[in-house]
Amino acid sequence: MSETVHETPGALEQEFTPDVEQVHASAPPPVADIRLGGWTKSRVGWSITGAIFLLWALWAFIDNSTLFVALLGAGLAKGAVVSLAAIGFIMIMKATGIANFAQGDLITVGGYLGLWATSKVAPAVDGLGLSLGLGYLLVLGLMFVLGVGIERVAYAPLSKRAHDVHVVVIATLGVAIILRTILGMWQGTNPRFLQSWFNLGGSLDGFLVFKDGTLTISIGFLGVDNAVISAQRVVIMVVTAIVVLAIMALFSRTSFGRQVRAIAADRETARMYGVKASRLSMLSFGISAMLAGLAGIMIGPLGSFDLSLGFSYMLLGFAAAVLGGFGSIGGTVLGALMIGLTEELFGGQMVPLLVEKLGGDPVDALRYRSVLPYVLMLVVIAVRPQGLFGRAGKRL
Amino acid sequence: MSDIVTNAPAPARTRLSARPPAMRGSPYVWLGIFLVFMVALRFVPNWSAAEALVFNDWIYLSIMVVGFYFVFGVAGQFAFSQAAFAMVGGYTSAWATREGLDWILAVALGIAVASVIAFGFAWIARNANLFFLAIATLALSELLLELFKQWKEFTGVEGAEIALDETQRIEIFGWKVTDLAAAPATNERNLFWVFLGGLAIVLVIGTWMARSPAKREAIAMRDQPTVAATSGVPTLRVRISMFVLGSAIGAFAGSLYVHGRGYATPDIFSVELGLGVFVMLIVGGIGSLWGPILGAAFYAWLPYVLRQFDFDIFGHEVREYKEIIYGAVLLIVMIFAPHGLIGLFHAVKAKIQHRAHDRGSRTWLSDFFGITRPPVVEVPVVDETPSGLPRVSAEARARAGVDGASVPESAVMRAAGIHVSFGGVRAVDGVDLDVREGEILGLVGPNGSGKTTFLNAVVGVVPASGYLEVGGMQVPLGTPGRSRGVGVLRTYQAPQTYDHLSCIEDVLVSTSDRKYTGNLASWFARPIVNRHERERWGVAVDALTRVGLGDLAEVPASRLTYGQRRLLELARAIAAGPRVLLLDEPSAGLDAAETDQLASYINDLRDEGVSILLVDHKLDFITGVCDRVAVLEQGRLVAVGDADTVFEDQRVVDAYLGVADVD
Repeated sequence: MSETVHETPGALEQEFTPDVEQVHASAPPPVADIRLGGWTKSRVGWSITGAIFLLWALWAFIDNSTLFVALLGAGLAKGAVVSLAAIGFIMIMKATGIANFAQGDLITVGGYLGLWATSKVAPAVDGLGLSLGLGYLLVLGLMFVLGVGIERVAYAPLSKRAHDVHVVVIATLGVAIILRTILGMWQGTNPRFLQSWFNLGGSLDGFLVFKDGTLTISIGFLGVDNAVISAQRVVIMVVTAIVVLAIMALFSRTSFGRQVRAIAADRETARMYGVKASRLSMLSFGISAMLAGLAGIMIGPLGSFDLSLGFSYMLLGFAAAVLGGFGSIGGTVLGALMIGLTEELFGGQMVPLLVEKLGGDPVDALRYRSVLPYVLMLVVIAVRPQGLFGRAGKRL
Repeated sequence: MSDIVTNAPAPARTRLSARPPAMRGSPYVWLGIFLVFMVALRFVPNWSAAEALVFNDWIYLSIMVVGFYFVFGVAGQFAFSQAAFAMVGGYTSAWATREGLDWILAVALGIAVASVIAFGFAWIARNANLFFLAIATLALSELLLELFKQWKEFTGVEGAEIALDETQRIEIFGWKVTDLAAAPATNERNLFWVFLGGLAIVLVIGTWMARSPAKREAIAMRDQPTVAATSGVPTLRVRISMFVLGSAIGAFAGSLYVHGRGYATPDIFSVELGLGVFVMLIVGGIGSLWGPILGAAFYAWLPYVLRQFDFDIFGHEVREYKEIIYGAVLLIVMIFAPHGLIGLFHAVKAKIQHRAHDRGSRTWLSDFFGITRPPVVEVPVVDETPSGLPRVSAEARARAGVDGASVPESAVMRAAGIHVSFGGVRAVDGVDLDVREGEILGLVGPNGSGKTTFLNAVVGVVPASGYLEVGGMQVPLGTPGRSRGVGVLRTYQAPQTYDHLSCIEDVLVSTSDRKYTGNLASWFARPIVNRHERERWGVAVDALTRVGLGDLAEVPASRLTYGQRRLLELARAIAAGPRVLLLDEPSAGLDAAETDQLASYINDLRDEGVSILLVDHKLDFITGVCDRVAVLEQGRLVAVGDADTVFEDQRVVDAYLGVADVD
């Protein structure tokens, strides 16, 4: 392998053995970008778009800074959970090349397992009633085992039999359906609620800055007066930040990360160089399931949940991966935070504010905020199919 | 064309029908038999009210899945949005009847609105492939679901759980199909006729499509998008129109359901149903219009059948395992019976007829999922470039501006300054090359010198810059199909055939007559479509016979040998009535006799006035047929002229053999 091949993966292969489909999927011809004083036209466009949104956010902040801070917290927390779903999704995609449609239901499983492990009374069925710490650790361990189990049952045999990874994606859909049904039969379908340390009445309620299950922020000179962020959301942000840093370190610093990156870049070559693909896929399925479980036990205490808990988070995770361009962990996390902020802050305050000033009913605008992340995703697909943070020319 | 005398041995007389396969048989009779069968099935057994309900659900789901068959089975688009479009149709028409519109017009409006949304979405996601599209359709479904749940002004009530009143229901010439006062059994019986009518309509649409070029082109687009585009298929239009058609049928089903049953909730159009539609199509069989009906039968009747069993498994009633069975059956069918239930039906039919049934269980889907693989054709390796020799001198590379490359006065195709880069690699680096009217121009060069990439640039399948003119008209680069429009056709280094079309259909896809090939024509202009089909058929049969494949016309292209595929590609190009023909290593993998045969075909084509650009490695073949030869080296043209002169040229020798660095 010469150095040129590394710099331009695919280029030479294309030249020697033109794969027609591959050629078709390549980027459209580069249109000469019009330059405006050293800036390209698209850069100017993105800058103006960004500036408009910043000004809009500033307007919202000035209008009601307390609400703004509270929603900022809610949005970042939502984005944090979405990023856990998205990272799990991308990790499996990189290590095995497949899209895992069971990721959402693994989140649900995490929430229900958390309930089962830590509660002894109804509505938990066959509950263990362990302490929170022990229970959650057990959940994470079980989730890892479950992930590896799914890899062994649904991925490994099929990927060998099918010569191709695509059939496995449908298998993961089947796994998702089956997981959800089993969960419903075991634990019932009614809404559930999960306890945590920081909930109202949790053992650490009142610890440090938390009071009555919330964090209250007041910043006098900015006019922020008792902005309320639930303690659980703060915990989600902190835990996710640590986990994301750990995952990034895992990818960049460890042998596992190097091998995953190698296998994502070129499966065959990586295997020839001794990368053990099956061990990697087991590990990545296990870690992804663990991340999903972590997401499940962290969002469980936010409110009641049922069997559909994970599905919307999975879709939002997909959306975040699209925004991030299916590439780096960093881009995906940024995409996830944008998704969270779009729903909570943009949909919860910025749009209603504009609607109100235009003479409409802000409550009406508020109703549609859960639609906004998907609209954002479609807009991104339409104007920038390689993702907001993806490199041009790289397409799905 | 047919009066040309060829040097080829006269091909065996074929027993080809004068009618295209799409115009044979009597599908309408079978359709009639099917409808009579359904009526008999409905009224001969004494169904209970509950069973009548399931029966109607089955038909309603069938309509929806036939729509999805167009989207996924024919056009190969991985979408989960069918249920969402049913919801759009249902709620839009419910709104319209609330506003006082007649139910027929309301249903039409529902279909129209869903079509507009489907069109917009398909346009936005026009570049999205495979699972990316699947994800985007899931997101679209979720978006629409949320939208309707919230938009109470439109749906009439928050949460969108609506009930339609008397005036909003289906009424045909005063016949109230469903009446609140009537017994449920009566309503379901009446509803059966309406749903069956709806199913008949979509089956007729499907039959028309199968009997027009529309289905053929969609399959070509699905199997080989780039080849289809360079053969003249408007791939984007085909892709979007099939998505819109299928989604519109989903909307039709949804609005029929809402007006028939008189209620709607977001739950009946949930994402689960979107996944269910997928299950139904796979289980029923993706390759047939009848598959969806069998798949819907499985999906609709399974819960009913499970309810009949009165025992528990692991403390749960049997019916609770419904979803698990769906998931498991989906997997089992995909792996063990890729043709689905309809495939089993065909197998049984063949057994009954004591006919050796074709055991090959490949479908495009099983290929796509890698469960089966297209037959691997052994490509003989012809590497005539010695390796391990020193690299070409910088001097040879530096010489640009080759004498004779530009022949403006007599050129039919003029390429100037063609550049193609892959990342930092300049695969084609400023090539000026003209092809004269009626000549055979050979293009040679070592491996990796950019020959194929140059052809790719000319037909627009790689991003390229430069100037291209054919017959005095400028052709934009970078868009497949544009050069096809001015008569530039090509073959591929590795033959590219559509695996799930027969040879004759393969050739039909690229015939030059492109009129009346769409879905709308197949509905509203059937006689004209048939007339054009007969003409196209004649052209395609001529082309196939000419290359000696007349006997194999009805055989799937995937069963041909490597050499036959090359000939098929040639026939495809001939049928298109080319002005300029680009042949990419046509002799690779052919033996000496076949190569001679090929040379005679090429000479004949030239005699008919086709200009030919021939890329090849066999130098004696090149020398034998070419009027002029051009030599590419590292993306640049180093020599042009008649064969003898060019191969004497030191630079060409250098390019092929390399030169020693004597520094």
